[in-house]
Amino acid sequence: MRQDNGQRETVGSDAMDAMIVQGLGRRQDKVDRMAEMERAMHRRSIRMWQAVVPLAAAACVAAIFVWFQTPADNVTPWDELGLSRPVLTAYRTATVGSDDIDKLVETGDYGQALVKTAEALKASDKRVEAAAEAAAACAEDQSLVYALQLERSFASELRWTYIYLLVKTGDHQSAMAEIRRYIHEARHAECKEHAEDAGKLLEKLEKK
Amino acid sequence: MKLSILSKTSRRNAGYSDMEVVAGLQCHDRKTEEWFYSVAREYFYRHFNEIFFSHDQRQEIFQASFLKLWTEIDNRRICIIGQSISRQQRDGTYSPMTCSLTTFLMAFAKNEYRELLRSAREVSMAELFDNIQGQDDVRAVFDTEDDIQEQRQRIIDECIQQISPACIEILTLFYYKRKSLDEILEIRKEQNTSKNGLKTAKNKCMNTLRLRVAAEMQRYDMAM
Repeated sequence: MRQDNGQRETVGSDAMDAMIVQGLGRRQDKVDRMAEMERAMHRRSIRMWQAVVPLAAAACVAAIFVWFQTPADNVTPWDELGLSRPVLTAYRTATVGSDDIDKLVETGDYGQALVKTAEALKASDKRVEAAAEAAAACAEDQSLVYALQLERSFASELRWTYIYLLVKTGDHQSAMAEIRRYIHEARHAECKEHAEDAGKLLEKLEKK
Repeated sequence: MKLSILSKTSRRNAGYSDMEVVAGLQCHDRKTEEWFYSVAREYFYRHFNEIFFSHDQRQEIFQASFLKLWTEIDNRRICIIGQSISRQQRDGTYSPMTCSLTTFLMAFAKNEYRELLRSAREVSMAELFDNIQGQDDVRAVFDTEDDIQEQRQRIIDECIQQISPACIEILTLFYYKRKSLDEILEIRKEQNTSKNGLKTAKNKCMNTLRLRVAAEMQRYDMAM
């Protein structure tokens, strides 16, 4: 047993002292291991902050950028012309799904609204085609003519909404193509409602 | 056995169950040690709301409590019997634990907190070795069929846990780390002012510990 000056109390035995030292050692090993785990946790924490801080900073910069960019992006040729936002459910020809599109437009989810409107427009164009064929086959049936007018009217409103969404999402080329189609369809009486605005919008977009 | 426990028991929050922790700590599995230390630390800081304590004192309470729990598991006073975790009672028998390891840790922390409150006043060198006298009896009573050497280790570990932190530090530095008195004086310059005082403290701490261990060994008929 280690002694500092050769003098020691005689209580216990060398075997007991050796076991006490082993016990102190076992305890010290745990203390050292805890210190090691504490340091490892500290290092992990630092690494996490090193990863999080740049990400947070980048997110802040992006948020500030979006904050300042959003108003500018929102001013589209549509807004410059002072045109009102289309609302499908305002028309008596509105069908199932119009409400969903209106809600998406209202919440500013233009991307999703565009997808839904494109689907609805495709279906509506097919219905117009079918109704036109039916009306042509039986020209004297006024109910078929009326059904065709209703389908055209709704397709026209859908296309106008679609144009609005294309302009809002910045897809001016597609918007211009759809406007031309809208103007072409405006030869029918029930499709004329936004013809004048469509002409102005096309003109503005062509200048851009 | 431990491996089967590790594979059979359910995972908790992509971590370890208490049974896996006990098995892992007894196997000295470093991953389990790290995981449990981190979870216990987080739990402690979330639930230990005692006021008037600095971060350092709180950390001191956590470390002391964790060390006690770890030692109990390591010495198999807490162990797995059948499909449950059991703890050795005063009469030497094992009873299933009715709380989680983290709750048990908090019970140790409460005791440590009371100890710290008691010793908040300046501890003189004379008190270092007097502290041991007022402690409760070592609680473990061992089954005579257990390995005698292992039982002695448990008694020694528990006696060490009951002496003051200052005594443990001095004895560890001198006997385990084999530091000279001058080196210990340098390390503990704030607590010890003279070499003679340190030597006296060291001798008294060791003798008190020896007496305590001898008494406990005698009590369980394991005198060396």
